[in-house]
Amino acid sequence: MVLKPVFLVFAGAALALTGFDVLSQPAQGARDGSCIEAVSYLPLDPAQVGRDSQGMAALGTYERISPDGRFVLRSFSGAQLGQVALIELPSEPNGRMTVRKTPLSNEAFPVQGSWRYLVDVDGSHYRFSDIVRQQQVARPLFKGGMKGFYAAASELDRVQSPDPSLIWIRSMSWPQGGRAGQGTGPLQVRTLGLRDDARGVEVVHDSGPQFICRSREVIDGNVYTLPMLSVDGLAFSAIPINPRWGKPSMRVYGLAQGALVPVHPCDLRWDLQATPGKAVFGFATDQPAMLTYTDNASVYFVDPRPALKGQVFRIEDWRTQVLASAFPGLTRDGRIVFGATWKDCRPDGTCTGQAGYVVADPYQNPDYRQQLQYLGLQAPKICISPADVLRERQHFATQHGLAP
Amino acid sequence: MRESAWGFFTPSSPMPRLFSLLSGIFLSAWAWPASAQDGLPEASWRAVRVMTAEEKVCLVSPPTDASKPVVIMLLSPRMVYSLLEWSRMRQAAEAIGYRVLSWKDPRVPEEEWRAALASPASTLNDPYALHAMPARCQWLWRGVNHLPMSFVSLGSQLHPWPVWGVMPDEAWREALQFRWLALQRALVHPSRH
Repeated sequence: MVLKPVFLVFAGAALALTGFDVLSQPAQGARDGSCIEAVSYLPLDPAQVGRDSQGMAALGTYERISPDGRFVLRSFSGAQLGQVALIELPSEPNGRMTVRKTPLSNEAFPVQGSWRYLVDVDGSHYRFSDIVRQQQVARPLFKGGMKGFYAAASELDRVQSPDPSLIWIRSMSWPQGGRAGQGTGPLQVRTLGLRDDARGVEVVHDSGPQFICRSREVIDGNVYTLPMLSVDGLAFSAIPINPRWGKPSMRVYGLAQGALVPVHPCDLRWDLQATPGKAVFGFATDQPAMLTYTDNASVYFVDPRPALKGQVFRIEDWRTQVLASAFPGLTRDGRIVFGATWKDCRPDGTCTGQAGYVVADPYQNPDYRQQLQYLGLQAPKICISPADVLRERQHFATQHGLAP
Repeated sequence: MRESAWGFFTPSSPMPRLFSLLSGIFLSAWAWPASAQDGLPEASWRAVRVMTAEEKVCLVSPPTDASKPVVIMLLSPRMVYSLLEWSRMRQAAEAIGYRVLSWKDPRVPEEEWRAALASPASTLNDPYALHAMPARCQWLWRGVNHLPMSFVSLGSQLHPWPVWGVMPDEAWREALQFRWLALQRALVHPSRH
């Protein structure tokens, strides 16, 4: 392992402090039921999603995690290339996983924050609950917002909108149309104000595509890649690949607070000084949102509080040869969920390859805990409890009219 | 944090190749506006390095005309846009004078590759241009975090800043030529490395 000067991964015992038995905390919490498992593994039945030549599921690398961690929108590889499944994870590690087909394609995306709608790459918005119930025969409600590859969308806080009675959705992608606009700005955002009632969905406001970040060209150049919008729609992460200063690195930039503000600041909030896979945002609370990403088939998370900047924490492996196979997501209660392959090994040394999902509680990560203690910082919570998970699942189910 | 297998951002001394430089001048002159050449950051051309013997064998095989810039594209069916956008991006690069070498992710079983290429969604009409990489080259893919991933080389020189993902033609051309300009600049200023 190479330690980079700014981005340090803390080895488990490197900063062990007396009086705080870090490693016993998660086990104790899991044993007495006050915390979920620090890391759990949910194998996926390949028969449900198709097998590759090694008998494992032929899944894609693109995936999005619902706010309650119950649903995963995931692309396929192999014979089902271009199709998208909605995978329902069980509430318990030994529970059954359900795979639903969808009418969506390629890297279809959710409206983050609520998952009120799932959006196909042509801009067709489907009600999430329609896809849960009707699967492939679900019909879109309307077309709008940004479309195309690497698009993402988020529901904005209605308080910052001109009409709080509406649903406000901001989406982001590459500039679209004739591409005459690359010189006008490297990315575009578009904000819709929607009225959604029993009669259907009406697009009441549409900002139209807005070029952003033109002002950053003298520093970042004019091409960003791997863009990802934050859950609250007020920031995005991306790598400027032709920087005029320095080297390419994953960075976080600010967007306008107001729903229909025509100019976005693109102010640099953070430079991860690394080039991982897509950096995905968690939910902001009274603390800024965590970020999570894959790097070299491992999953990392970062806590953006200023005292912790420059530090990154790796999700522990509790199984053999754990390799992240898709990019991760963060639930509202803070769990990190990602697709992976691993091996289950018996004491006699025989191992079985598995593909499925890993669910991790970053608050129980020993390195993170030790570093917080070392810096005298409060953890947002000691751990994620089963009650937290249940609460999120119930909240999400109620929001979408689903059985918990 | 692990170091990438590609040795990103590791500058090393380039080998001057006057012929490559002269033959490339025409292409760079029309493809890049003067303002872009003026704005080429030092970090970009200082990052240029000589390819290792393994990289040459694995990535630029068969050997190519040293005077022609090469785009090395790494592709996987597990990132769906790798396949759906590959033909367009390859043709866009060839149209502005690049040779494109496209490599299949060797970590993906061949059966999965075949199934993906034969799937109804696949838009590939030129699979002959997609090459299998020898098993001994698999180590090169260790640090790859996103696919497709593309590199630009000229002769034995490699620009180690990847172009991650797919993008519209205008951005793609700009990303390629940013690197090619840096490769040429590095050939002119080898002593400053």
